[in-house]
Amino acid sequence: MSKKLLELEDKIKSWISQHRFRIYLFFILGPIILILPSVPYLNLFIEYELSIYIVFIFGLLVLDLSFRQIFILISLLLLVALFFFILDEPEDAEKLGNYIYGILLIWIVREILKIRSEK
Amino acid sequence: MLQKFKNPLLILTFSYLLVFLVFLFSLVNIWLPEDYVLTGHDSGLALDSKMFLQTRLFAWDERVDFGVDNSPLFGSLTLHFLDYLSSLLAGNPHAGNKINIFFWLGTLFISALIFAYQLKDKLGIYFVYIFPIFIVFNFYIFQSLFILERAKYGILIAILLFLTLSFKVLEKKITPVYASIFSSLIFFVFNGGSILALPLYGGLLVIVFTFLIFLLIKSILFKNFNDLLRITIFLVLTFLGFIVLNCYALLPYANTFFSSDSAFLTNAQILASNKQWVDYISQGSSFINLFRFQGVPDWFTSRYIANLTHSYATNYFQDPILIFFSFLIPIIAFGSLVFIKNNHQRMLISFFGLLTLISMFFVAGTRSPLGFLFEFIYLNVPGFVIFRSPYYKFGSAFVLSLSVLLAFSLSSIILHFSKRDRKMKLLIAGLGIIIVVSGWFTYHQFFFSPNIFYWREEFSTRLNLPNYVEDFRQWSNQKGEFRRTLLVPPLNETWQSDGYEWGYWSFSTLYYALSKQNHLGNTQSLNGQESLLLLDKIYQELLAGNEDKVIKMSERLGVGYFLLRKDVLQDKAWSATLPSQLFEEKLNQFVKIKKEKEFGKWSVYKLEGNQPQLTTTSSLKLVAGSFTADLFDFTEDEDILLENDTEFESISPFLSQTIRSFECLSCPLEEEEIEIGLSWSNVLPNSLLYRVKIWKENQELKNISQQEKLTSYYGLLLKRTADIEAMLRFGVDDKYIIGSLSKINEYIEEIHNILQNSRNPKSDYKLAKQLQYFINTPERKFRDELSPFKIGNKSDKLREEISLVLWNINQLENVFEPLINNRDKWAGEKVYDLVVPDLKFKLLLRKSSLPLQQNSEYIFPNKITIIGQDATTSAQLSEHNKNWFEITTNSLDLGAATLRLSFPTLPNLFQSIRETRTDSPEGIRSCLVGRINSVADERTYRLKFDAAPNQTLHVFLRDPDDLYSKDGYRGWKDEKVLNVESFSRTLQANFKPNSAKDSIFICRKGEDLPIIDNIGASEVFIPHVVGVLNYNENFLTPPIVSYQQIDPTRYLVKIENADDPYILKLNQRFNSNWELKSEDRNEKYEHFPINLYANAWWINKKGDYDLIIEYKAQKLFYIGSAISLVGLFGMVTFLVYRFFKK
Repeated sequence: MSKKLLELEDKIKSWISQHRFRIYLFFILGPIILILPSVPYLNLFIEYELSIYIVFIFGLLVLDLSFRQIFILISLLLLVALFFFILDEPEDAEKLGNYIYGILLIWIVREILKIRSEK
Repeated sequence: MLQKFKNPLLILTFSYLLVFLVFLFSLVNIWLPEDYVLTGHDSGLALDSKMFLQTRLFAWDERVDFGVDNSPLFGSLTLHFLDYLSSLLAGNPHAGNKINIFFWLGTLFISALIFAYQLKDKLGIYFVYIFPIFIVFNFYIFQSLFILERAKYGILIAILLFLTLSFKVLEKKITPVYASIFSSLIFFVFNGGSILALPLYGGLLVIVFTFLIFLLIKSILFKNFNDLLRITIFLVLTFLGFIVLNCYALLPYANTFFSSDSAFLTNAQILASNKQWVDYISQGSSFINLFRFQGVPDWFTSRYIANLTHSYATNYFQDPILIFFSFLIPIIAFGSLVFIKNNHQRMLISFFGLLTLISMFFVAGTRSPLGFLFEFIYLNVPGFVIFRSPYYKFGSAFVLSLSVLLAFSLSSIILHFSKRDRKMKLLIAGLGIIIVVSGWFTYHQFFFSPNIFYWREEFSTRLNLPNYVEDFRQWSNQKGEFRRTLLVPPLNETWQSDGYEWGYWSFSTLYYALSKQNHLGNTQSLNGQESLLLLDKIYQELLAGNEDKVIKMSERLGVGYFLLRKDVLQDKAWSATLPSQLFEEKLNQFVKIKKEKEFGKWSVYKLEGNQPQLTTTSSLKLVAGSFTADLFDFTEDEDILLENDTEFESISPFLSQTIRSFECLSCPLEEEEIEIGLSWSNVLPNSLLYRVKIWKENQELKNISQQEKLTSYYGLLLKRTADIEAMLRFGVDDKYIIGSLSKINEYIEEIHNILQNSRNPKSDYKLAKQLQYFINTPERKFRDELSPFKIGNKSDKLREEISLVLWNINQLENVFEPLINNRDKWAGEKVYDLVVPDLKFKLLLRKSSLPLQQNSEYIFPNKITIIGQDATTSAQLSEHNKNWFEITTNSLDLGAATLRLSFPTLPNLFQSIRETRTDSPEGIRSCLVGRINSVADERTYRLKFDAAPNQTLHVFLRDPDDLYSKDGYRGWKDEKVLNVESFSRTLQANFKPNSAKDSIFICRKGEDLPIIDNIGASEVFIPHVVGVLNYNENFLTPPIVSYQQIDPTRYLVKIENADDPYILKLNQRFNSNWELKSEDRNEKYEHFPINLYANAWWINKKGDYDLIIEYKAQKLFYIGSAISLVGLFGMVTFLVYRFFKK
C-alpha cells in the first residue's frame, strides 16, 4: 500500500515538475485575472463571470486534460444544464452552454494541432 | 464501369435509397393528399406554375400593381422551371404539389448520400446510412417546409455536392479543373433562386472560410502547401464558372445594383434598423439551444418564452423526455472526437468540429457571448448587412457539420458493437442503423403530421383551394387585353396582406400566384405616394359610391376590372380588411361599371371602354409643393406633373394650370411637446476617458459645415444634459456637474449667435420649431432639479449654475419671441408664406379643413390678413365651388407675402366625465373617462388639462364596451404615458377618435383617481390653402398613337400626324430603365414621371414615324443568357469530349 502511495507521490511530483512553469503561471496570472473586473476602465470590458471563465479554461489548460477527459467534463456540464432546463432556469443553462462552447473551441484547436504529431 | 455496379456496397446503398424514396413518397402523400396544395405566406409557390415561369423570362413584371422591376429575379428561372416540371408530373398546374416536395427532399437526401458515400472509407460504412437522415430530418429544414423553401434546400444540396468534389480534389481523385466544371454546373442548377437569395450563400462562405483556415494550418504544420493550392485553384475556377453560368441573372441585376441597391448595403440608417431585426432573429439562438439542433427563431416570442402558436415547438420546451434527448445530441456529436481512430479521421472530424463551432458563432448572431463580435462585423464589413437573418443564412453550414459529427459517433458505436460478433455483424449493424433512424424519427415525430404546415393558429399553407378560385384562374388567364384589376376590398391596411377565410394568407396577393393578368391593390410593392394618394383615393370614392370619380381614377390608373372577393378576412378576424358588402352595395349601384361574371364568392365587375397603355397628351397640370389627396379636385381630368419631377423649360407650353400647395408654418409650433429620450452616458467628466470623448466631439465639430453647426450644438447640449443627469444620479462631485453646466452655457451662447445672425428670427417658424424641439427636454429637466423636492442637497454654486442655464435658455427662446412661449396662440392663428406669381393667381381654402362647431357647421376665420412687401390688406372668404372657398382681396401684390388666418377661440368639446376602474396587466387602474362631443371623421382633437405633481398618467382612447378582447387583456393601442414630477403641469395629448363611441381614459395606477383640473378638448386643424393659376388654352394637338406590345418590356409605337410637340405616356410605373428611342435607335427623349407613378417622354418631332420603348435590363438579360449558354455548351462539350476520350 505504502509502495503504491509512494508511486503515486512520485507521479504527482513528476507531473508537477513537468508542468511547473504552467503551475507558476497559473498561480500568478489566475489571481490577476480574477481582480481585473474590479479595475476601473478594464471593468468596462471584463465582467466577473468572464474572468472566472478565463481562469477556469486556464486551469484546464494547466491540467493538460485529454479530449476524453474534457468530453466527460462537458457531458457533466450538459447534464447540469439539462437540470436547469427542466427546472425552468434557461438562463443558467445558457451560461453553461457558453462555457462548453469556449472549452470545445480550445480543445478542438488542440486536436487540429495534434495532426502534426501523428504525421 | 460495369464493375462498379457489381459492388455490393453500392447495390446496398441504392437499395437503401430506394427504400427511403418509397418512404418519402408515402410521407408526402400523408402531408399533401389529393386536392391539397401548398401556397401562400410568400412561398413563391404559384398556382399556375407555367404562367409564373413565363413571367420570369422578362425584366419587367407588369402584372403587379403599376409594374415592378423583375431584374433581380432572373436567377429563379431554374427554380420555377423545376416547379413547372413537377406540376406536369403531378398533373395539376400548381407549384406547391406533392412531386415538388418529394423532389426537393429526395434530392437533398441523394446529395447527402453521395457526400457520405465519398467519406465511407474514412468515417465508416454506417455513416453513409445515418448521415442523410440527419440532413433531411432536422428543425432547420422543416422550419421552412411549410413554404417549401426551395432556395434554401437548393443551396444545401449544392454545398453537399461541392464539398464532395472538394474532398475528391484533396484526394487527387479528380483534377481541380474537372471538379470546378462539375461544381459550376451544380451551382447553375441549384443557385438559390435569384440574386435575392445571395445571403443563403452565407453557409457556403463559412465552410469555405473554415476550409481554407484549416488547410492553411495543416499546410504550415506539414510544411506542404500543395493541398491548399489545389483547393484554391478549384475555388477560383468554380467562382469563375459560377459567374459565367449565372451571367443571365447577374448581368441584368448589376445595373439595378450599382444604380440604387448598393447604397443600401452601407446606409447607416438601414444598418441600424436591420440591427433590431438581427437581435429579433437571434433571440433563440443561444449556444445551448444550437448544441441541441434547436434555436429556430419561429419557436420564440422572446429570449426564453416559447411561441405558443407554433405547431410543435412547445413540446420541445415542456416535455422532459424530449428535453433529455435534445441534450444527448451534443454529447453524442462531440463524443465523435473521442471515437477518432486514425489521422484521417482526426483531420475530418476536427475540421467538422471546428466548422460546427465557427458556424455556431455566425448562426447565433448577436445572441451569443461573442455577439458583440458579430455586431462589429455586421456594422463594419461592407455588404454583411445582407446576413441580417443569421440563423437562416448560416444554418446550412451548422446543420451539415453537426450532422457529420453525430453520424460519425453513432456509426462508430454501431461499428464497435458489430465487431464483437463476426457472425452477427450485419444483423447488429442493420439493427443499430434501424434503432438510430427510428430514434431520430421518434424525436422528430411531429414532422410526420400535416400540422407542420400551420404557421399560425388557423393559418396553414396546405390548402384545399375553393373551386371558384380555380374557375377564376382559368377564365382570367384566357383574357388577352391590358386592363388592371382592382382588388376589392383593399388588403389589410396594417399588414398590407391578402388573407382569406379558407386559409390563404400572404403579403403577395393570391391574384399574383394565380393569374397572368395585371392587378392592383394596396400591396407592399407600392410606395407611400402611390398607396396613400392613388389607391386610397379610388377606394374612398368606391366606398362613397361616387361612380364618376371612380371611373376617372380608373381611367388614370388603367383599371378595367374590379374583383370583389367576399371570402377575404373581415370583421374581427386577425389581419382583417373592410367588409366586402360595403363595396358590393356600391358596385351593384354603379351604371357604367357592370357585373361581368361571378365565380362563387368572387365577382368580376367591368368598366366599359378601353384603357390603352400608351397615350399622348398636350395638356398638363403642374403641382408645386406637396401633393395631397384633395388636389385631385383640380386634376381629375388632366395629367399631373409634380414640380420636382422635371427641370426642363420645354414643358411650360403644355401647362393648363399650376396648383401650388402652401405649407402652414405656424402649425408645428402648436404640436405636442416631445420629450427626447436621452442616451445614457457611460463616460462621465470624472473619467480619464472623458477627454477622449470631448476631443472626438470637437474634431467632429471642426469638420462640419456652418449650416450643420446649429444642429450639432443642439446635439451636444443634449449630450451634456445626459451627462449631468447621470452624474446627479451617481452623486458625482459638484465640480464636474458645474463644469458640464458651464459647457451647456457655452453651447447656448454659440446657438444664440447663430440664431441672431439668421435672416429673420422673429418670423422664422421652422427655426423656432427646431429650437422648441431641442430645448424642451433640457429645460424641463433643469427646472425639475430646482423644484423643492430635489433642490435640498444641492450646493449654492450648483443651484446658481442651473439657474444660469435656465436663464440662458429663456434668453434663447426670446430670440424667437413672439413665436414660441405662446403655444396656445397658434391653435387659432395659422400663418402661410405665399408667393404670388401672377395677378390672376387665386388663393383657395379647402372647406373640409376648417374646424367644426358642435352642430357640425364650419368655424370661419374672423380675420384674414395678407401682409405684402409694401402693404397689409384684409381678405374675405367667398364661395368658389363645392369643396373650396376663395380668399378674395382688393389688391394682391406680386411676389412674396404672408397670409394669416385668425380664428375665434374654439369650443371645448370635452364632456360627460365619469369615474371607473379597469384591470390591466400592471394591476387596477383608476380612471376618469370622458368623450369628445360631436366627433367628425378624420379629425384630430387635443386634450388638455392641469395635473398635480408626482403622478404618472396613462391617457388613451378606447371604446368602453370593447376594453377587453375575447382572450382577455387588449393591448392599449396609442396609450400615452405622461409623467408629472415636481411641479404641477399643463399636459396635452392629441387623439383621433374613429367613432363617437370612443372615449378618452385618463388613468392612474392604483385606487387613487388622477388629480387633474381644467380639462378641455378642442379640434386640431390645419387649413389647407392652395394657389391656382390658370393659363391660356394652348392649341397644341397631340398626334395619333398606335402601338404593338411585343412583350412586357418592349413596345413598337407608331406616331401619325405629329404637328406639335407632345408628351407620350406609358402606363407602367416610372423607372429609369424604360427608354424611348427612335426606330434607328439614335435619338433619345427626355424621360420623366407623370401622374405620380407613370412614365412620360417629351417629344418634339413632326410627321409620321415609329418609336421603340424598351426596358433596358431585358437587353442585359439577353446578353447574359448568351454568355451563360456559351459557357454551358463549352463546359458540357468539354466533359463529353473527355469522357469519350477516356
